[in-house]
Amino acid sequence: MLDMTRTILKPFASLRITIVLFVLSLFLILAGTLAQVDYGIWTVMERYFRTWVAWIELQVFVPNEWAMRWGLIKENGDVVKWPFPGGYILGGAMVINLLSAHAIRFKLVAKGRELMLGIIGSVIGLGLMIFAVVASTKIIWPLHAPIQFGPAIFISLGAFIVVLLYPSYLLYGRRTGIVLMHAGIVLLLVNELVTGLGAYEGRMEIRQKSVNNFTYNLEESEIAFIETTTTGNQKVIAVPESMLERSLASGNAISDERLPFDLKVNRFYKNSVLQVATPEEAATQKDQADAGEVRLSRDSNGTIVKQYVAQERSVGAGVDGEAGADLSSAYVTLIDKKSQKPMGTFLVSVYFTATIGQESMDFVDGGNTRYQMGLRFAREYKPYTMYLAEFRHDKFLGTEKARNFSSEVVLIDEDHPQGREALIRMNEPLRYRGETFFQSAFLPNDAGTVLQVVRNPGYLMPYIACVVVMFGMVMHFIGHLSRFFKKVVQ
Amino acid sequence: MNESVVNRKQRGLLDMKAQAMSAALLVVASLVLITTAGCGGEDIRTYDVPQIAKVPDAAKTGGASTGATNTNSSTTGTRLLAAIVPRPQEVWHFKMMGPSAFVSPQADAFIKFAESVKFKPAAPGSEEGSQPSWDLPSGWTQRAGSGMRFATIIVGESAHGLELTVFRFGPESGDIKSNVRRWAGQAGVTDLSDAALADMTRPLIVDDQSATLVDVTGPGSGGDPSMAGPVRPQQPQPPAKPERLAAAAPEGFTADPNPGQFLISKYDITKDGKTASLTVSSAGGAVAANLNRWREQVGLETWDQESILKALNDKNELNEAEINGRGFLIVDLTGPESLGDGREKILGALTPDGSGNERAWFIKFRGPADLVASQKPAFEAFLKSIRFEN
Repeated sequence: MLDMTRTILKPFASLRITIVLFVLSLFLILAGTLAQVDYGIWTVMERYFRTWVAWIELQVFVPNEWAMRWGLIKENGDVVKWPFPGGYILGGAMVINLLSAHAIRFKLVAKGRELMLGIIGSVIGLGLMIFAVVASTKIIWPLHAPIQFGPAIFISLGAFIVVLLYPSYLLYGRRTGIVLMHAGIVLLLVNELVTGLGAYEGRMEIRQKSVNNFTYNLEESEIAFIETTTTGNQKVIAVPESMLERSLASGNAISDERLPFDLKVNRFYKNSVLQVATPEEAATQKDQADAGEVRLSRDSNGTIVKQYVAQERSVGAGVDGEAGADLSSAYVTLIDKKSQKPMGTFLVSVYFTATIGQESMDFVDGGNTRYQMGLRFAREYKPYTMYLAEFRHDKFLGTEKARNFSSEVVLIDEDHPQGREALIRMNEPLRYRGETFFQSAFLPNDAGTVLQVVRNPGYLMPYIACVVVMFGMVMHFIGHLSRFFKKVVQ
Repeated sequence: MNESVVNRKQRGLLDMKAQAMSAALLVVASLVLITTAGCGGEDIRTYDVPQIAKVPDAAKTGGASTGATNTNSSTTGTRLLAAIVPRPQEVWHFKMMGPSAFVSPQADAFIKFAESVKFKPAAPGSEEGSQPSWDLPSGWTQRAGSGMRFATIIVGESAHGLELTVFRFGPESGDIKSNVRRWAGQAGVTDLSDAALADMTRPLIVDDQSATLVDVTGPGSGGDPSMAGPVRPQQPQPPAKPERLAAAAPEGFTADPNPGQFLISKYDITKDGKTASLTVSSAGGAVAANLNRWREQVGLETWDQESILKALNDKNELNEAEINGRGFLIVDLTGPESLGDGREKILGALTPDGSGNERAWFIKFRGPADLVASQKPAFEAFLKSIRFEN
């Protein structure tokens, strides 16, 4: 049994694999860095690192002119690509390689009681650290809000130093330093995976002396059905962009018990421009709406004389800046659930909701309920309200050059009905409920502030990993040094 | 010997178990983190929009406590101060609206400002209307207005966004009461009864004539979620990819390698010592204004809206045409005969830019009337050769 495990693990633990993985990683990083000549950093992250297979464009390694002469860039703009293991494969392989190596080569030195003590201590220490990391962004019983940055780092590092260090020394003895260093590196790799899968980035806009309680994501849109109850509360049913795209690809209407209608997606444009068209012009388009009175104008006979049409545009590349925000549009047909009869084709677009707001949404009747329907940047509502007491945009005297932006906000939640003041400035973000608020931009005429809201479920992990690696190195060097002195003395 | 082998094996087994356990622990830990990280957003979400919390009054004055503003009042909400000044044939609005904390300290200055306004009567026959002038309180800066907005005055630090706007309206701009009702609504006042509205106004003398001062204080948009404002990305319209125009150079013309700052391309033809130029440019602005510029260039009177429609009907000077599936407005303008040898002719074509921006393509062939007339086939051939690329 033991020998079998060993035999299975041995090839995975090979140092040669480690070297090959390092070489491949170096090459991937080189290609990814060069690719940023053509693409933005986030596009490169998605295509090279946060992926299983990276399709490396060979033209990144040579000047454009040569690439064209050699046929690496074809005349229609296509480029020659070569598959290469992506970040997930390389990172995953490194973790497996490292863990196998530890399982085979590193022996536990503890016996009997020490072994028990070491294992129990490690479990408690690791458990506390994991608790702190998770609770820093999630609500974990019995808490009712995520732990703030300070306490979370205090708990996790405290657990490491006070609880975990000694048991690991019991277990690994003079090899503890090496084990810790590797553990820290594995933690960094795991953190990258967690960030890649779970990070959220949104924007929150607040007008001067006004409030807001949601963020929106410029990268994602959603079709929202909003029901406003008699008490003024709003209920939302939101269909994410990815579902629209899946439905479009499969040709099947979206049918779900939570939705008041079946939803057939005729077109979905990730980026688009809107134009007003006459019936003749609209007829030349790929699709046109016949319902949604907000955006149609009819003559006295009810014939449509003017309507908006959406035309597809190519998606903005990577970090083109805010001007590059893609304005999605879709043509959708609502289908009555019972009779399966179409209720009309609507043009919905982020353009309308982003510029006009909820008033631009169409009223549609489903059952006994009236909904407003529209495509908007995907929203996330918060359990707290943020009030902008003051946004300041200081300029260097006599110039238009910005010296400082700052937002003085008041956070109001269940725990702080009286509000909690905070100042957000450039390079001085606010951390609150597992999210980080950065001063990002401002509304035209300084009418309000735009905060970038970032949530990364693993944001504590790099801090911990660095401390763990540091302790590992110190222990390793001190161990060597003391052994050296012992030899000298002898 | 035998015993020690067994012992070693046993110890190794124990080691292995512990090793496997610590490795498993790491894997489990990563799995926990990954699953809690969540991969949501792929399914339909339903939720109740949480209520916007009531902003405590103490919090509202937070901005003032930084010393950034010169307010010493604890008033909250929105305040609007306006002077409505009727004049013969026009009505002037001087309006300042913003958070009470900013507006209130400026109230006295506003009234003083309004009382300082003097009007210079309109020059007889001029369409300009009367010209107001005023004494600007210190620290206020004036900016030019546009359209109906006669001027914008920045009150104090512009960072607060407090502006005083000066509007000139026609006599149809509505009675005082409807204006006050609208403003009170904007300030969030719910009681819009006549009596309440009357309380918001008081008489004012401006330039020896009676005017009305409006002073409204309301809760403003602060606590009202519906007024939190739509999400507005900084630049909702990404700049459209500019359309490009390609065409074959007309026969007998020479291409000018330096067409000039505003031109895309320029071709010249010279015959009998006379030169005419064919130019391609892209510009914004109303079509009518551009047409009229061409008319002025050849010495014709400008068109108003009606004469443009008439010309379109006559199909003489102005024609619509479809070339390669694209609509063009074709212009054929010849200067008056009275100009003799200096008589010029413009053959023009314009079409809106297809990329959706508010520009248009202008193809213009201008020169001595007889030369341009004789080269009309070349111009038409040039139009037919035009291809638009996106």
